[in-house]
Amino acid sequence: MKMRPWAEFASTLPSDQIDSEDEMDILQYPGKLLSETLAEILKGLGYEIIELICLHERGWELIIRGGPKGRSVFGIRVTQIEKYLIVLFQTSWFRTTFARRHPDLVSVLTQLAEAMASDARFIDVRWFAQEEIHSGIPGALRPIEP
Amino acid sequence: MDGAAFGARLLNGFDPDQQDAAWDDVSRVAGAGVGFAKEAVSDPSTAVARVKKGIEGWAEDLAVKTVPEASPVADTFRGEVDRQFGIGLNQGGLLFDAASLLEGGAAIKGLSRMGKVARGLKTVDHYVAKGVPPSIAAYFVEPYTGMGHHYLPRRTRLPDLLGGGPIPPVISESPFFLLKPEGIQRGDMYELHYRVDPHFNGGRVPRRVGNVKGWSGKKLGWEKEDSLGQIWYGAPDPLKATAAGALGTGLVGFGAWVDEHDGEERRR
Repeated sequence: MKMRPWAEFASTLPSDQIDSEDEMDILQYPGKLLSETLAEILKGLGYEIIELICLHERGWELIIRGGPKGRSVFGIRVTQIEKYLIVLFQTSWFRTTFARRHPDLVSVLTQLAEAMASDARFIDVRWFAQEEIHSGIPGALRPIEP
Repeated sequence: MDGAAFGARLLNGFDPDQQDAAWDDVSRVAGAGVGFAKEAVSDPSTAVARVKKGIEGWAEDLAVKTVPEASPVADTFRGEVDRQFGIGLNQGGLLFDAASLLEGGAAIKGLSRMGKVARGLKTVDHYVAKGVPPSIAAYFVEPYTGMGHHYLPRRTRLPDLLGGGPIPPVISESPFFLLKPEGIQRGDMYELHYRVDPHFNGGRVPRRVGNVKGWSGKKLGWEKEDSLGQIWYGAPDPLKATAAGALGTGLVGFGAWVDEHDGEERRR
């Protein structure tokens, strides 16, 4: 099984990057609005929204909890370069190290990908493995390849 | 604040306010000690339970300090880390005084100073030669003004035993866990972020930079660290020295243990 937890896409959502008045710096990095939109979607899928964290130049991080037992915790990092770039990951170090393809992660990735594919606000969503990002390959239509 | 500074405050007749505050601290600690002694005599089981709880709390705290994720450190930033270490001793107060004494803080500080290395500033030409668009290159050589790199991910929460909630800034912003070298350039800091944060691949630039909206670490030829590299290079030097001296190679085990308390069972 090949897992591609990164997604790159365009969006109809308005840009929410806020520059300082003198345009020397970025006061708010883009992605907050997208994070909140993803939070809505995931809440509709039964996940609990724990918090949205501003990481400044590293983007935004949405923390959710869910899965069959309702206990798995995931993070979704949202950044924007040219297009939006997101990654869904397990916050547990143990699982990240010893259970990289945990069924709960596969499940939430699949659900999120299906929801995004049927939502007109997300345009040309492509999924990547870490080593595939910005490497020139077009990306996959789905995050999980059996 | 280190022990010597605290002693100086106690004896500082030139600043009565500071001196009074220092003696108040002594009085509070002494009062607490007397109270505990009385309790130990009248109710030994409760006193034993309190000691046990204190030890457990210390162990939890030590584990929180060793969550393996996040941030960067290249040898060339040691001088800056040394500077922040001194500031952090003041900010960190008693907690880090105790930790420093237990884990060899004085030696850490000395090592850090011995390892001081001058850091050269990169030029626009340096980046342009690597294929970076000139407008981005000019942005990269500007001084970094962000929040720095937190060794403890900002999503980390205290274990329930310690009350839950976010890690207090006195810890997360201390030089043990925050790397923000003074004078570092944006490009250097972003590269450090990129190397040790597995979920970071690039970002936007202000609109004044021009037609280019952002940068990608992959396209710049930067490389990601593997898991162990993220743990090691992401740790500020004082934390590395502390961990190496007191914990040896136990970081990974502590990380797994902390996950059990902090990850899947985390509080809201």
